[in-house]
Amino acid sequence: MKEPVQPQVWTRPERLHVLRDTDSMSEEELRLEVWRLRDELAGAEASLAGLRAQLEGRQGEFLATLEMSGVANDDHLKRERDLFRDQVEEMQASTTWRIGRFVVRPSGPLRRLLRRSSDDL
Amino acid sequence: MPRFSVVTPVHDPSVDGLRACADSVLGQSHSDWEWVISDDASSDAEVVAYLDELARDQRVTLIRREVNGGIVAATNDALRVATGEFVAFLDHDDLLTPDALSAVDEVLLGDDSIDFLYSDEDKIDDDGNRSQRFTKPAWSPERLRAQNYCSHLSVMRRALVDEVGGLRAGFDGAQDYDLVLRVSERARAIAHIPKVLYHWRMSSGSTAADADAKPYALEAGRRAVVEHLERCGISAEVSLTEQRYLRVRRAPTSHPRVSLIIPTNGARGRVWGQTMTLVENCVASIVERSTYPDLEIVVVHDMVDEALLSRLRSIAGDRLVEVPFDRPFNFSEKINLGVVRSTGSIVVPLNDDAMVASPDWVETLVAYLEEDEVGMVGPRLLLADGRIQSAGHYNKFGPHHVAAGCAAEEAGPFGLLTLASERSGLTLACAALRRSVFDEVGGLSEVFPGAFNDVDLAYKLQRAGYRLVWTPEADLFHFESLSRDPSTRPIELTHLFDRWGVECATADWFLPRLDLQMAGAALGDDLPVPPQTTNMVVTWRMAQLGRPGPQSVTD
Repeated sequence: MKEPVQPQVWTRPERLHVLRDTDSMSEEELRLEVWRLRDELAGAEASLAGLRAQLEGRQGEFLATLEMSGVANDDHLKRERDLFRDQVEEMQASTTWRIGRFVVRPSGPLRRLLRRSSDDL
Repeated sequence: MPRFSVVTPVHDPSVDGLRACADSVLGQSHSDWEWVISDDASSDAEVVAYLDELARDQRVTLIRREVNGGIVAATNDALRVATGEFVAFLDHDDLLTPDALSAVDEVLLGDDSIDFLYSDEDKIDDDGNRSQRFTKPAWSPERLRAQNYCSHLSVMRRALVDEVGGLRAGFDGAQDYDLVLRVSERARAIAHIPKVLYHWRMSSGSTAADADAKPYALEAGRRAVVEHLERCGISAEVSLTEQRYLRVRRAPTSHPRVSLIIPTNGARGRVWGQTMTLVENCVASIVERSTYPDLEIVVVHDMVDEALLSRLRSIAGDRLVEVPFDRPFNFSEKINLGVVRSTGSIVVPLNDDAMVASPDWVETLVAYLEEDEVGMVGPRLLLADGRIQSAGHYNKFGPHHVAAGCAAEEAGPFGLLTLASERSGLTLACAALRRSVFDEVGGLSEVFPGAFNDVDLAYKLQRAGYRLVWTPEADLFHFESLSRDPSTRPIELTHLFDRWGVECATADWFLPRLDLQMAGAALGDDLPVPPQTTNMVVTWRMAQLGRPGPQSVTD
């Protein structure tokens, strides 16, 4: 099944201040213009701080999720390992395994002999 | 060196109270502490024996004073032998909560510039019943001048306590208030932990049960504030109020020109059974009632009729400055234009549906602005029926007025409505600013033509490091929204949260619990505190230039 597409939509900001021709402006208009620019700067700084905080929050959440999933995976692996160890111990404790060991025991000296012979060569 | 030295002066407490106190210290979940007990010549043999028993614990240091010297001498003796990095003050029959020191330690681990911390507190009786939970504001120096709201639990960096010379003789009963004032003048950062970490015992004869129990303590507190104001260069008279708080009455040292900026469309409204032109009523009240010597009245008008202008001229004379405005309605633009055309070094945006009640309202507001740290100051605004319209703004969960609709006589929890104190914001129906500050932050944002321009301005000022002060010492009537449509545009709220979403959601001078109380909900101790606010620590820090910097919030 295909993942639903999440469109990333950009919308034009409602207000974008553009400095007008200052040569034709009176001192009063210039003062007001300076205030508008200061206000926009203050607003932009505040928005940026908000976005930074959001980003840090999201990063924190992401790292926490990673950490949690790592812990979860680790736990899962530990469980798998423990289960495998139990199965091995169970197998080694079985009658079949003990009989098998008894059967193959005489082959040990023969293997050692063969290894030594090959080393001598 | 232990992290904390808990310091306790002891003088013949009830043994049960002392045992409970000791259990609360010995049972701390945090382990890095010492307890320094200074026995101020107790005569009760049972107390003496119990102290000996306590001293067998290696974490406890017991000092025996041969002669009773009072709480200041006993505490200073304890401070002299305390070795901890921080000092926590505990009275001999009060209780720490089991997590008190660990809660403080957690905050300190996040910020090594914090020199002083205080927590919320409540009171406990001899049967163990708790009451009167004091939900405190973030660092509020103006309120501290009227009330030792920090009180318990207070934890201070020992080096700073040493630097200011410990407790001062002559301030018995208010020695802690005096110390908090002196430490806060030098602290780099101050944190409020909005959690009850201290249970203050109410026993007969204690200050916890009766503020009048120690009249000498009230006078000592008053003197401590007088000296603090002198050190801060603030000219004021300090007197006791009926609620046993302090009234700090400032007086301006000079009378700079004040420009009142009144935007109007010449609307008429019905007030107290009379239909009137609101701006005419407003200007008349200014001229007839205000005592301030140098007022300029700037009326920014939507080309109102000549007859009204003529009447305003005859009321205000040469103090009137007429500023025609022919653009679509934008309150912010009108105020900005009015300020540009004005000449005062202090500007006061003022709604045309306001009316002066206190003759010295301008003097009161101007006096606060002599303090550089104060960016804006606002008066108490009353509705036509005398109830409170606004006691400042509270911004959490959406901006709104503190105490709207409460009776003017209402003191509020722990005297809140009787004390000048910091606010998250102030309504621009009436608020005073220095022109230089208005200029610094770029005036009012024209992005907010109708609503929230004051909320935005408040955030801009606080971000620039200024405090906003509300005072009950100046009253004006505000016949709210008689002159224009009070509805707000959703886009304004969107703009507000785009700019200040983080601030709106986090730091504030109040907690929701208080807001619930002040919104007229039943006053009581069982109001729920939303869980998301209980671990929010607001830290104030000293910025460069000596102004308080932006608050930081730690979860």
